[in-house]
Amino acid sequence: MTVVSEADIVGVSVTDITDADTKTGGRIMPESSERGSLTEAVYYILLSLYQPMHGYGIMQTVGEWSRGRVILGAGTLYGALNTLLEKNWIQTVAVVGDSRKKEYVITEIGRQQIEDELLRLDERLTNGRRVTGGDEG
Amino acid sequence: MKKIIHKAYWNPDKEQQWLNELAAKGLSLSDYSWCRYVFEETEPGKYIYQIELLKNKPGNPESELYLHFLEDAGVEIVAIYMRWVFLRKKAADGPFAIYSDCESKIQYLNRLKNFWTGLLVLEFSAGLFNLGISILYLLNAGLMAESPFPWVNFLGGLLCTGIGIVFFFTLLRPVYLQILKLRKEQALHD
Repeated sequence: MTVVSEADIVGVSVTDITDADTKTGGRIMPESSERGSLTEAVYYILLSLYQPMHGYGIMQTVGEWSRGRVILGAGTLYGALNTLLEKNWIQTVAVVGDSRKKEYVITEIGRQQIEDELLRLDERLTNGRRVTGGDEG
Repeated sequence: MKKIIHKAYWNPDKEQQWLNELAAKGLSLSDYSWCRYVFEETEPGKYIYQIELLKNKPGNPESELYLHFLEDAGVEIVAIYMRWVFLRKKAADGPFAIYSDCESKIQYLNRLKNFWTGLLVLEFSAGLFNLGISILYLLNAGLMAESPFPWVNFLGGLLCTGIGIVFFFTLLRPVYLQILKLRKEQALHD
């Protein structure tokens, strides 16, 4: 009765691929793979941006939420933010009084990605609990 | 109290390890220019150091944006030398790694791989070209009997080829192996 969906096995995401990769002949994935799971970094970055926040704030928030398990590297965060901006999953907001410091916030498309991810996570959790006997239902 | 150490490193991993060992003893890098490291005395273990190769030249707007972002994220830019940046963060703020997942680590390693490959191509072309001149002389020794053996080309070529071989084994190959390892890892984890 074990149900394992293909998406769970593959679990690939295109979100970490930047413009530079596609330009330098890196792996280009078809649009359909966008339906795959988000990486943990992308998931938490998007989630933290339900509130407008700057880079350091994102790192702090994600660190707190995961109780220090997910420590985003500044370079990783920078790359991910640029990719998310390109995809319009997030946008920048002007910070009053400081033109250099950028804040980011999630867009409608981004929220949809989170909603989809929650469904996938829910399914994973339900199946996982059922198979391992942690839950009857 | 400042302390200046003159030392040459070609391997940034070793260099970073050395800087972190000194920082743990209370000597923290505060500036760098060619083979010249300037240290300040701090409490032992105050900083963690990382060396990164920038994607673009330091003056490039994209590099500026990235470096500003790093500063906003609590990373201090200690020195910039060509495309290399020396970064540090207070150890009290937790672990310091610039890249935290497989994909971004691989992207960075690919940048390093391309950089070392470019350097190696230069070394080997210079080396083999000069060795070629010397071999050509030996083959045509009869024709060029009056001109002396091109020792400068021979020794220079030998040196460049030697450096190329050392760089291959100490710089390019480890990066390549790390990429392979991460790709395998990526099949299982982020």
